[in-house]
Amino acid sequence: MTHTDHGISTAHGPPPGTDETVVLPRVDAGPAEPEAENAFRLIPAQRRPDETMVIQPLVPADGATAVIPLVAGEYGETVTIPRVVEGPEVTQHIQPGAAGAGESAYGRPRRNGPTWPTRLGRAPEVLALSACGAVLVALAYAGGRSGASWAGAAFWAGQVLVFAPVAVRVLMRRLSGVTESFTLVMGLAVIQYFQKWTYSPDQFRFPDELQHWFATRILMQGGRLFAPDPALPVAVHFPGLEEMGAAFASMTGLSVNVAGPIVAGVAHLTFIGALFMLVRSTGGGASLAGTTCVIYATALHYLFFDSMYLYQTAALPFLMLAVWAVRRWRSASQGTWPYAVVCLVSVAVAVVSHHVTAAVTVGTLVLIGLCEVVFARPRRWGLLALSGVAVLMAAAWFGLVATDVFGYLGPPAVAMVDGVRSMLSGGGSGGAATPGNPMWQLAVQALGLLALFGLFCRAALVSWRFAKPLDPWRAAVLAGSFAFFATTAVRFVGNAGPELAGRASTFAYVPMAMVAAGVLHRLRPHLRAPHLRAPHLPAALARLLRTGLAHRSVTLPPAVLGTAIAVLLMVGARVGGWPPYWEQLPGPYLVSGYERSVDDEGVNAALWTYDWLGPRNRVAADLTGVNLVSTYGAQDPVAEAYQLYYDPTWGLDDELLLSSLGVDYLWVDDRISQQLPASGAYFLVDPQAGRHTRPIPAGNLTKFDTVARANLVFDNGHIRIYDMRAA
Amino acid sequence: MRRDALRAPLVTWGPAVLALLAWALTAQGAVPPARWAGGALLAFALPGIAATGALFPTRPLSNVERAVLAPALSLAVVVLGGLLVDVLGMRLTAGTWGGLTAIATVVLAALRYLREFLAARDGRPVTVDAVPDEESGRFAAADRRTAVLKLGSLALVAVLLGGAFWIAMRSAHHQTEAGYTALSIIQEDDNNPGDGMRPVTVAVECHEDDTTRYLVQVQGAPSGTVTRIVVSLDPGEVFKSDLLVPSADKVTAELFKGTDTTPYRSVFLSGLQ
Repeated sequence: MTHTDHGISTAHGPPPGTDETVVLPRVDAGPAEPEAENAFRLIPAQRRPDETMVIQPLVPADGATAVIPLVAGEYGETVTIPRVVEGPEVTQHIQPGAAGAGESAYGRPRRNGPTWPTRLGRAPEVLALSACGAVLVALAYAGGRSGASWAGAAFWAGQVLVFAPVAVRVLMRRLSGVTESFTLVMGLAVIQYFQKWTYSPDQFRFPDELQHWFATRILMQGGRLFAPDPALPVAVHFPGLEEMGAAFASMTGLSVNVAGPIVAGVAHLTFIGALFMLVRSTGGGASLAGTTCVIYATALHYLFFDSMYLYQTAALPFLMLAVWAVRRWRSASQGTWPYAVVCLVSVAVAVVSHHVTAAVTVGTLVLIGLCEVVFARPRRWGLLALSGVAVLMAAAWFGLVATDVFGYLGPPAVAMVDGVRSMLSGGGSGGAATPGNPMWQLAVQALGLLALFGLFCRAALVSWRFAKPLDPWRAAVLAGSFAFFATTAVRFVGNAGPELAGRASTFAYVPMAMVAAGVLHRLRPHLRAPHLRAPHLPAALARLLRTGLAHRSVTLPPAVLGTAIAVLLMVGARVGGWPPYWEQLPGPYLVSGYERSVDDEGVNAALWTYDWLGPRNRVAADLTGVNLVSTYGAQDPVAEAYQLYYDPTWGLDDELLLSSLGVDYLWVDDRISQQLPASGAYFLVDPQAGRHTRPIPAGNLTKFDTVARANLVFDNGHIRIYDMRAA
Repeated sequence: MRRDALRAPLVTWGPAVLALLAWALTAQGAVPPARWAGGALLAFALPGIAATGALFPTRPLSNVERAVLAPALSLAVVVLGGLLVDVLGMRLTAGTWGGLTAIATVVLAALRYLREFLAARDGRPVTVDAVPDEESGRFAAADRRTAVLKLGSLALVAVLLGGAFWIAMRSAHHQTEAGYTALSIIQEDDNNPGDGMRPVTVAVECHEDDTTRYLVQVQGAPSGTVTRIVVSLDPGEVFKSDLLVPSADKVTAELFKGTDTTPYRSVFLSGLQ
């Protein structure tokens, strides 16, 4: 007996084989509606530790109690609650291994209910449309490689086609449920990950990816963790990604070039899935969880940096998993201890995988713990204690094992403080080293930020006015969103500001996406026809609007306004994130152009150094050269030797510098005398970064031919390698 | 009833059995597709499924939670287990990784069995199924046509993504880059330093678009010892020649391409003091 309009079919339980789902119109909030008298009322009877609620149905039920997850809904929105029945009448105790075991105490799969294809709703069709966008983007990349003029247009059309259909669908009220929403966001993540993969499908090109590729090869060859890695010394003590990559590559026999993107893809999808799960655990419905993931897909570094083969990618899912676990954990309940275990395991994996993610994970737990102490009544200290354990774990690893992390993260932090101090004292903050985006792109980014700020203000206002007392988690999310704007301001501080702001947004954008999704999900602005005599509108325009709106107000559904804002944010993320605008499409070689600088000549020259010179020589090089010789060449890179290249003649200072840096070989790429650096700097350490107005003179590079006792040992046309050990 | 009777042990021990099977598949001699499948199961699925079962044998989890926890906890087993293996002084090889993940899966499955057993003994409820995710009820008709449409759309997604990847791979491999050749000269260890000569190796790496003919000329100045070598190389081919050249003189190696009379590449070694 199922009453889908006003009732519930819990009285005697459904007959075997029928759908056990009950559909309840929400009547516990909002204004009265005509059917309210007959509607099923939710009466909280007992809050379980895992945030599910035990409710007693009004309809007398012979001892049966429905246990439903706490699902956020909106007045007028139909929420569907899986019926889960507990009690002695229906609970079956399983004797492991005994005959007859296997009966579940909880909802069994419905034999006559919706089958999985129908549960998918419109997700397959929407994703098929979205995948067409992925083909367009792949064509755009192919066009970029061949220099086609249409490539840029195809790129943007593809980006919108990939993103917009999913955004529209998750913001619609017609989702079939969690299955459809989850399929949509995971499908979007897969398609967007393919976009990243098709940018450089045959090999790693981004410097950090190459460093981790090399570290994984070291692990596979040596079989031991913590082996020295000249390419990225600090990563030696954060081997999580390398372990994942080496395990998968070793067991499958695939190369690291193939296994790496698969591992990164799995970690990225797990991160998105965990975000979806986290929103669901906070009471968000299918649409809200989906919208949050879609909004998060507009983070600056979502498309590339957060899904590359980097140690941060490996650690991110565990940040989200730790937060999800503490959401479900209640110290007062013995039964929820497995969630504490999941939390601590997640913290442990994050701590041994990535320094910044570890710090953010611990910081997030502390923030939530403090909010629980401050805002929850009665005060809950358990979470603060758990986050204290997390702090100890991170401190122990950083203090006893990864001691070099302070030397690695210290200088950027000091530079940041100096930049702020300089800005406050009116001395300017130091300009960005990288070239600025075109004006229209900056305008899009500014509009996106304004939109986010508007959504944040609305959420804060609503919380201030209506959510009293403030829920601890709501407070934590609002504080995190505020941190997003604080980190965005870092963009304007110092040379490394834009990069640091982008990297910080990976974390701070999570609460911001939750807030934005929460507002967009319910935003239904009413457009009213303007009065003909409205003083601020020209009469002709007012007349036109009045005709268009047909003398009545029009309500914009979230799928319209929300999608428009989401697409704006997505475009802003693409132009402000990675890759930068000058390498948005793959193409011909660029000096200091990161992925665009990794070509066959450079890779083969670096491989030559390994084959003929052996590993661990001190090799001075430009930005790209350092990247290549330290990975493909397994050499010890020297990034501070810029003066050797900037001096027009060889002198005593150069000899002293050569000696003090212990340089064995010089990598000289003559293309740095032909182009300005795309990223603004010729060298990893370049005091003239962002100030170059002309390329390095060719004579500065040919002078090495005349250095006494220097040997030119390699020449492939563009790249020459000098043996300076006797010079 | 028989199906239900089989279900509980299958759910409890299935991952363990599969893990042992996958470990066998990841052995070096297995055919590649079997290794891929076995490795993927051990790295991304089975330890996490077993860990989820061990941690939450009596608590309801949704399908989404199970879907996320499986890869996440599998990766956690890989990372923390790898650290443990390293601390124990063992090398992390294909066999070690396979053994680690498979044994972890078996241990976690046993832990699940134990917890289920204890729960049953204490009269506490034991769950096997996932909690169904709530749905809105707005479903299409559950007929064959709907199923075909959904499956067809998903297949189309796979085809389109495969096509996108093919386009990308093809264009990346055919990206127009000018051909080039690398010339190098390296001084080798001199076993007889008193003879006034030193051994060097000259190498030519061809990365041109077609088979190319080269002339390599090595000259030790000022004594004027000249060695000329003509060689024809296919793309990707490397030519090496070991020579003895004067120790005290600067030695220059020049590469001429085809019939050119000006050097295409030039490298040198300074004279030893």
